[in-house]
Amino acid sequence: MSNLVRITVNQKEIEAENGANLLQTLLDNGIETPHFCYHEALGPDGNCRMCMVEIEGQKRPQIACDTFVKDSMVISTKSDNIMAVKRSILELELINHPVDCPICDQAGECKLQEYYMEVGLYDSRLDTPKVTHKKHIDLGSSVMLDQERCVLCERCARFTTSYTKTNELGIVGRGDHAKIATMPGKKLDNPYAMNVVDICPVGALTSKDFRFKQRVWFMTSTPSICQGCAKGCNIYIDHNTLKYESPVIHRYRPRKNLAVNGHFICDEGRLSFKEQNSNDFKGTYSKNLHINFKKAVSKMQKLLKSESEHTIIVLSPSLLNEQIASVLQLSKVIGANIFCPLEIYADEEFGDDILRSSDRASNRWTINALNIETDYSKFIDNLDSARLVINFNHKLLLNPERELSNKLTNKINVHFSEVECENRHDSEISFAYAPFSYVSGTTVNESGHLQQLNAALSPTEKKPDLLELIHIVSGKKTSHTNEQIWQNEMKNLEVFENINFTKIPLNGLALGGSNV
Amino acid sequence: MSIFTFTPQNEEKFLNLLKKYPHPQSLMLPSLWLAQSQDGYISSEAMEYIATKIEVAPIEVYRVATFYTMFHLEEIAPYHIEVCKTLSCKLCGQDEILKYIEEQTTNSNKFKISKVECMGACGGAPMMTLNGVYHENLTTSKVDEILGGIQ
Amino acid sequence: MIVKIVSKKFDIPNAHTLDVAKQNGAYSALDSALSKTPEEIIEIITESGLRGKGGGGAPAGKKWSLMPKKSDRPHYLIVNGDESEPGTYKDRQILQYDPHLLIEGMIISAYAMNANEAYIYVRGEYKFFIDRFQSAVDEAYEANILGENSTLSHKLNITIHRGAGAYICGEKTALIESLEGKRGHPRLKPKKPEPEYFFGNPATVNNVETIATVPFIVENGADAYRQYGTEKSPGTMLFALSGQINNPGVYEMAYGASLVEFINEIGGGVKNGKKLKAVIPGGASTPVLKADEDLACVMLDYESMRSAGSSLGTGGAIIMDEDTDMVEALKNLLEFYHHESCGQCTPCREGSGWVDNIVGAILDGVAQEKDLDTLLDVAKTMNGKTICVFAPAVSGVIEGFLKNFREEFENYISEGRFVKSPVEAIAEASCQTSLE
Repeated sequence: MSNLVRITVNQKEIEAENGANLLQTLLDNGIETPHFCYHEALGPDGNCRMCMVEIEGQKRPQIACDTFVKDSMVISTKSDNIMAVKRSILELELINHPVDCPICDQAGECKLQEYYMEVGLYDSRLDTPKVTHKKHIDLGSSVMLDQERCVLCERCARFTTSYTKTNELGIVGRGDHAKIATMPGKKLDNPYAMNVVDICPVGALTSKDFRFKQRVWFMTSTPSICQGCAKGCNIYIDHNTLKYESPVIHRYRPRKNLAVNGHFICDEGRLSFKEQNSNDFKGTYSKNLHINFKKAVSKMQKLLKSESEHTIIVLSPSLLNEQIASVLQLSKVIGANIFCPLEIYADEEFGDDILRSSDRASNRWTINALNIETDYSKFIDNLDSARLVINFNHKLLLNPERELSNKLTNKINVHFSEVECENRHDSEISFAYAPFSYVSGTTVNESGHLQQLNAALSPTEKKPDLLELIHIVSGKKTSHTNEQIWQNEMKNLEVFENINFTKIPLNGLALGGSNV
Repeated sequence: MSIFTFTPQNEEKFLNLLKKYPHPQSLMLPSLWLAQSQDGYISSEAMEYIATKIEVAPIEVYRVATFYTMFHLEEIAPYHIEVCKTLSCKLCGQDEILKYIEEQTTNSNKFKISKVECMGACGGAPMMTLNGVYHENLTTSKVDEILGGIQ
Repeated sequence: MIVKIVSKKFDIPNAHTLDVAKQNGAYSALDSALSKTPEEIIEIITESGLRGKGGGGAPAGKKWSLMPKKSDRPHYLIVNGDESEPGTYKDRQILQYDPHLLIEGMIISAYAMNANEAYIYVRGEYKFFIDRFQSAVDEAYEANILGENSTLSHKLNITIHRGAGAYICGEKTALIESLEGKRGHPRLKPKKPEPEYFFGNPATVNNVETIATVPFIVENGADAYRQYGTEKSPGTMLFALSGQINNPGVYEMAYGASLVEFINEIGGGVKNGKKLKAVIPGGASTPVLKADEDLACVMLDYESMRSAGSSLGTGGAIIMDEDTDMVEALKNLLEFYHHESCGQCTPCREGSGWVDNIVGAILDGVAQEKDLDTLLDVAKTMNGKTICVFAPAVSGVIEGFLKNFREEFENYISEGRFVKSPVEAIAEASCQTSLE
């Protein structure tokens, strides 16, 4: 039940929820309010004093993070008075801050820099020495700590206390000699550790993985969805292309989505960008040898014709919706049965009650919604009577265990995959295709949330778009763009029939109920 | 790596105190005092031990131990002299007394001399403590008397 | 000038033991107190105008009435014995010389707030006084005054909690944090008047001396207390003298006494026949007063101190003679604050270090005129923008020194050294304006 009231901010009236946190309300309304210690996921702390605002009727400026919306409140964040207050608080934040900008990874996304440009722009009047602390401390989990740069907002410590409940970090010492530390000899060690790098507003906590690699203003941020498990955490793919070089993804960052992953992602998902950069597997192969693309296509088309009665298709439950729809189209064209054994994608050890799902199949929901056969034994039964096995990136066939491998030896195996398959000798044709960061599309997470992926990089000749591949291989009998897929195929699938593909919100769309 | 546990007497004191507070967390300071009285300082092992006993994360014990001036996280010399440096004592000749104390103890490694803030003995300035015992209205001869008992 | 209400038994040998204390009237207020209702006691305390003696001077009755009436939740009385304000050493006198008076006060106060558990937080350095008070508490338990087996109609447990060296734990919310086993970080203040909370349950924090005054008031009535002091600052307080004074010590007087008379008559005047230059009237956190003719009109009560541009604080006066280097004195105090800041909020944590360094630079003769402006500017930033009143106190201290002794700072800047300035003799001065 919302209870909306009207408040005035900088002479403009806005609607706000009665009793809501004033700082969050200001931020939600796009009103720039510098702050360090407040974080939407971690709550207020009231220690940085940066978010001070002027409230009519109150003698002194108040911190917005400890103020609650009341009807008819009149706030100023821009008066000369409050700007002077903010400037003086910022000056004090910078008093003991090392001038590391030229070597600090945070440059370009640093709150101290941002706020200095917003409310600072003064000349330093510091003539006395700064407090010094330890720099580049390896905390473990790929996180580097620089105690000097820290503004003691305590976000990181609160993260390990209230979010991961692993309690590694804390402020020790007192006064201006206080600093962030771990228990002596202990490391930062939990599956979400690297999130502290994002929540740290300055360069005190940085990623060892990203250290000194790239200046952030040279990168482009593309919104996408992590494909590591069925949670579908929202991410930014940060990438760029240097002159004469291939495009590189430098890192993933979490993208806020209160309906899915909140503000964070797990470390494994965060570091999975490296797989996307791998250029090890590309092009087309037959058995162990590289073959020409045209040859591969023609070979494939011959096989499809000759084995048309005896073909089965296996597809990965991590394919995008459009890719799945395209494979479905293909299966109709060649009259093959489709299987997607799901058991192997279960990972109990990985799942937790924070974000990580024990289901590694990022698009399982769609597999189930489309009633694709998921039972392993049914797949095996059908396998026996098949001669041609077409695998679209399914783990089971890329890396089969002994028993299955033996069965496959007698078959004609074709792989469409992002990574190389184990049994190259048994692979009649292998097509490399571009992984998810190269294409756009949609997936549905385990809670039935439809989400959009955007292409950060572009498919290449050696790593083409899977839709394009299927289109060519099928003799142009399937759609080859997302638009066409949605217009032709998806519309006919009940679960997607009412979706306007071009209007999926940035935060996704709930599709009535989980379908696991 | 040594393991830390309370001595039987300290364990008894701990258990008695446990009854007096609504939550074991309150025993943070008392436990740190007990540990320091046992070893002369507070080790990481002691902090981990206390954390388990009062049901907090070890980092919390570390945070508290580093916040309060009277806790030592490393072994110190057997005789700890604290000389108050704050205004009333300074106005009453603290500088000279400190210099004298330093001169008298300079050849011995039995002493650790700390300058501390107001000890609440302003009427008896200048003052020092020797292992926590207050000695007020210091003169050089009084200092001789106090130190004489040790050297 | 000396009054003996709280300090009544201080000079009686062994008055800290139960027998001697009882022979001299200890626990005589209990009957009358426990025969009243808690509400009645709060009314008496409110009428008496008893003000908190920990430095704030807030009316005690008002504080107590914030506690909920009897409820299902446990209520707590927490006594603040963290006495760490430089120049202040009065509460230790009570712990040492009349602990049973404090116990008696705690029983009555706890009764008034429907509390059966009381904690007294004493600064860690006061080991001797803690042991002394513990002995008295043990005696009281033995004699069935305290504890489960108490023969009184109101049972109370008293637990002594030893601090470990942190001035900030004297701030009442930081004290509770410390009592809850955490770092002494003051809490954000509530929007409306509320009691304090100890593990989520209602609690009241009062200074040792405030509680020790309760038995007298309850036994003799509000009017008896109001016989002493002034209209707005009724009663008595344990005032203290230290620094360059002939007779340092703790002296109980009615509020409203003349500060100069206190210094000259009780204190015996400035040591070594020197002239009085400055007084910090109520503990380090009160702005310094210059010994000029206006000082003769300054009285030891909250209102007079406020008009004089300072504060009564804890009543611990620090006396400085004509030879005192005021820049060094300020440096000494700023080092204290720099060392004691808890570090939680930005203006205090960073500001207290910066101002210490600036005055250090002034003392070293390497500062410039603009540094004085910076100093005052930082002092301004530290005022009114922090979680607790520590930083505003530092701000007031700096402003007080600069307002009254700016010349000395400027001398350091221009000449790089202490230049002694002439000091008026006010020993015989008396106030020319009529007393309020």
